Amino acid sequence: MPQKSKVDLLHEADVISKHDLNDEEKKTVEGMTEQEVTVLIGLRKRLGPAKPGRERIKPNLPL
Amino acid sequence: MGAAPLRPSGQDISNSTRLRRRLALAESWLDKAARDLWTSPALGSIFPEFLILLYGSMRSTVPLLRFGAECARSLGQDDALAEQLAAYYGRHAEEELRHDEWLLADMEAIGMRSEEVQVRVPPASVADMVGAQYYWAAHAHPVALIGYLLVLEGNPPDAGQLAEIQRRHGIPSEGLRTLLKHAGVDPHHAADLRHLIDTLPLRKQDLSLITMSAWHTIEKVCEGFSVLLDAPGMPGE
Repeated sequence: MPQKSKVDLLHEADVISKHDLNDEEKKTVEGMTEQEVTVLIGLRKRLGPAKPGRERIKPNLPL
Repeated sequence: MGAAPLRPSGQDISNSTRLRRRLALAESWLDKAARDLWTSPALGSIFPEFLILLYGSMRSTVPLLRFGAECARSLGQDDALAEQLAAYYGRHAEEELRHDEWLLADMEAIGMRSEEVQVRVPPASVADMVGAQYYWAAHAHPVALIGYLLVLEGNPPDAGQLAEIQRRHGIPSEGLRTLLKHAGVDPHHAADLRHLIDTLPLRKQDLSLITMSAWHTIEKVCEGFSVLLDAPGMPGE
């Protein structure tokens, strides 16, 4: 069994849609460590799905 | 720790771009959390609690940056990042001085009592968010703070959006003064930070630590907002 790519792992975990990523973004994901991939999948589990909105509303917690 | 630094060269992308792309993988959660909060029909009643959450974070900024500078200095000349980080954190701490006092003044101006705010137990999400930075700075590398700063200064308030929020939810303008000031200064701070990132000789493990720190910060901001929205008495979905 060939090892799954990091893009595929994150796609299957519903962190990203691999069809929406350009080549540069895919390269970014493949350059991540396994620990980073695991952390992102954990975030998805804890925070749920999040689709980008039409408008970014930005005030969060400025310093 | 013999890994070679990742230096932008030739066709390679800059480290700030590399980090921006990694952060983008988690930013939709931050966007959703901010959208849920700022478009909540209950925002008018939640807003004082939001200010308390913000105060919990803001009061920790200067001590955290000074701690980061101290950790960087303690690494000494053998560490390729130490000198620049110590200088940057020290300088940035000065730039952030008294922002917590501005916020207390805003809270007083909309009828909150600062002495009551100061004795409240700070939210656990803020303790988690800031506490992780102390751990990483002391036990991993003070470069971790860059991830925290990228998230909190990389999404500055927008003056137009603040005006709309104020109008729509009837929030007194005095309650938004500190956020409005940040709409002016944070874009400059974010640009300074990007410049720092692109001049530091970051190694793969540094980029990983910054990334983890940024994602953790995003998670804790989301958690803090979610707690505000889930508070007893808030209307359900």
